[in-house]
Amino acid sequence: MELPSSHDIHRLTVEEFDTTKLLAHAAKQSRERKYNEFMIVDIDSHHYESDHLSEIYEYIDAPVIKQFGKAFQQTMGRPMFPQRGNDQEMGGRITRSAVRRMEKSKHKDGGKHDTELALRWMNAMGVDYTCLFPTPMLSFGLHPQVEVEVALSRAYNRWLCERVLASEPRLISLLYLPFNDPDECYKTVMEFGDKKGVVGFLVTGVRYNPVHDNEYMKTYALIEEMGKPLAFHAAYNWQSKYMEQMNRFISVHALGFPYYNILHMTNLVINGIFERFPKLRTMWIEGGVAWIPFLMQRLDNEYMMRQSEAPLLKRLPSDYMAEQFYATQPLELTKNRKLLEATFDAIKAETQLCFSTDYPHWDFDLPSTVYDLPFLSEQAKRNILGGNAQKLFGLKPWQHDKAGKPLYAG
Amino acid sequence: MEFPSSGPRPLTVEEFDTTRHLSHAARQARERGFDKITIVDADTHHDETGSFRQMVDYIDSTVERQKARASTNEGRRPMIPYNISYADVGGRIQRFAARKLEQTPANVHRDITLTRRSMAAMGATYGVMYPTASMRLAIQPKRDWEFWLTLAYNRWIANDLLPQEPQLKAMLYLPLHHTAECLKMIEELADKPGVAGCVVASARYEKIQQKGMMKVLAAMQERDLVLAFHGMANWEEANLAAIPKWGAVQAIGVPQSNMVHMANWLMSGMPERFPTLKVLWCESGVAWAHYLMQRLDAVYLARVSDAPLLKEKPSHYMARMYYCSQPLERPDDPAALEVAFRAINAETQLVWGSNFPAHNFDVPATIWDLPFLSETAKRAILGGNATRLFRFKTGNV
Repeated sequence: MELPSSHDIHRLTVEEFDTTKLLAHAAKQSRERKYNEFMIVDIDSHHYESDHLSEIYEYIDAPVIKQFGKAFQQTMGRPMFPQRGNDQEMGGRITRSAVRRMEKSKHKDGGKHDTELALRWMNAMGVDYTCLFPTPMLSFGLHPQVEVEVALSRAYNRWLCERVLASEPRLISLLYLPFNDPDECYKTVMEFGDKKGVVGFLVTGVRYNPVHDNEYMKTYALIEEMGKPLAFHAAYNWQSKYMEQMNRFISVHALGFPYYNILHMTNLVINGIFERFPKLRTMWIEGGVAWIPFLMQRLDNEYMMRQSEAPLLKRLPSDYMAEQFYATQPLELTKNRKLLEATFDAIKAETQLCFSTDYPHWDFDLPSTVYDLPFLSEQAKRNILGGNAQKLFGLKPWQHDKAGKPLYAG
Repeated sequence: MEFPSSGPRPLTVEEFDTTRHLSHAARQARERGFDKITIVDADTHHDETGSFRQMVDYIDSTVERQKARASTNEGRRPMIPYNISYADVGGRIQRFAARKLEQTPANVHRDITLTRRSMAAMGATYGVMYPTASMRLAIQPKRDWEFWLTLAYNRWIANDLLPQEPQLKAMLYLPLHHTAECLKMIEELADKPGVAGCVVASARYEKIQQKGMMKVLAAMQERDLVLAFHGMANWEEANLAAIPKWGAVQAIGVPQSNMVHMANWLMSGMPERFPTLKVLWCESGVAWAHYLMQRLDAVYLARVSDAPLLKEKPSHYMARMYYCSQPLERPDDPAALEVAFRAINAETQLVWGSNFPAHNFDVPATIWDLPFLSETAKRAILGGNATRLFRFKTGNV
């Protein structure tokens, strides 16, 4: 594949692609830091479900929607959801997105193929478990047809459970909830809650649903009873009126992801959802961490002046927020490390923060992003890299030596 | 090519030929003697994305040119936003996908051959071409991409495509975010043979009366270029996203996109500021114009101070603009259509357009078979009005 350049002399031709080779430095880090001595859990990684839509559409129940999906795919060569042009891959400079389809595996089956690729990068980084999420479906909450979101998310969940999670214990997931239809969310939790590898449920953040609406309460109650977490995965929507004012991807990405986490967290906290469901644990993904102390300060300050607008609260908003779980990526590594340290302190990182890679997206983090932080103790590093998620999901080491001692990927 | 079905048997299509596809239109043309009149298709579309790699060579910026080239690689996100479209009804309307199978001679650009075929079948002498996917650049939030890609399209069509076929004309796409660049494009390209005017892809939020547009509109008026507003629907717009059916979104969203610009055009007094600029409204049918005339007149009479530049009622200005007929409404009572025709002075202001190969395209018989039109009016709408509007040559071409 030819990767064009702004000038012909820089033109790059790529003949093959191999994840293991791409991540050779990550593997070196893994050996040097002895990741084989403890468990690493990645809360957030992705595969491209758009590469396997012909398999996924077969799982759609409604015959007409199924035909539409297949017709989109087979004849028009498009998915049945919007695609947004953006500058994420820097005109091809981040090569893995374009050349990923050149990578070979032993399998024709999409689920097995993606499993093999996931294990390659997990082994390179020393990751024992990863929560696998889709990619374009992160914007599916904006689909104008509720029944299509319901049909496609159920098909995807079935495909993921049957073709990926059932056969590979190191791959786990928080399943997509079709949040535009509250009743279907409830049904999704009932149907998939006990499936192998399903460690919780996911709300994709880019959407216009008020998450505190009473229609969702029975779903929250069910998830609380199950003891599984409810995650919110951020993304961006350049076509929203606010974001349209920005001209660069960097700006939209920097503001867009935390924006959706801030929005949904505010609605949950102010409307007392954490008082109504005290055992419900939420996880906040892909907004980095700097937004959390910002929101804690902002909400606490306003709450002290207008408590009557949040009558269900018995504590400060920041108290509830400090009991939730947060995924690290993209961890803000800035010049002033004291800011990051203060953030870790505010969110009780040692028990509430969980490492995430967001691999293979453009700004993914390696375990060393956490491991090399100078202000963390060894125990804190291990908690963040795996221990906290291990407790949250109830994970056990996936392999042991002959003496019964746990073995880890690194 | 296999078309999936909701039933047990998929449909396999091995070949596609526009001429055969439009054989009924060709029969109609023979039966009605369309060879004896000049027919202008004022709105026909070509699939410009097939020429994307050639176009992007016209991008000046080396960096943006690289991004455009890279975006053509498999697995990359497109630079043109893709909205969900059920235009082909899940494959039931086959030409969208099956046209890829159509064979064309190597020595003529494919878009020219395909457009010639549809025009020949329908009996059209001239065709005014518009891009298809690129119209959605109007909703590309990365605005500099809209500018670079439309610049590339405009240069490519004016320099490369139009010189190959004098019966094909085109409209320069105006990226309204970059008004100074719109002016430069007009200065660079508007005098090239075959450039008939400029088009605004209507699903957008910039105001046509914004300050920067004045120089653009003045330049167009000086050159006697037609300003077309091409209706389209953006399903992601909040009010349209409330509608879960694509067809209903089109029914409401496409005319609505034109209504917004029409209201701005009138209430900001643009017909008085640019009295000889010819304005054409495409792809919204005709019923909306009659509706909006009544609505704007009523509000204008109640609040004349809202539109201080106007010297007449809004409907008077609207009756002097041009309208493209497709998709022509077919009310149960033809009298309703007749009234709409009368309101917009159809005999002099209405031009026929096919909008081929869209899901709801019209053939010339849509006009020719209307019971309430005189022979003269039919000829005017099918070709005479457009010939005058675009200053096309008449007689043998």
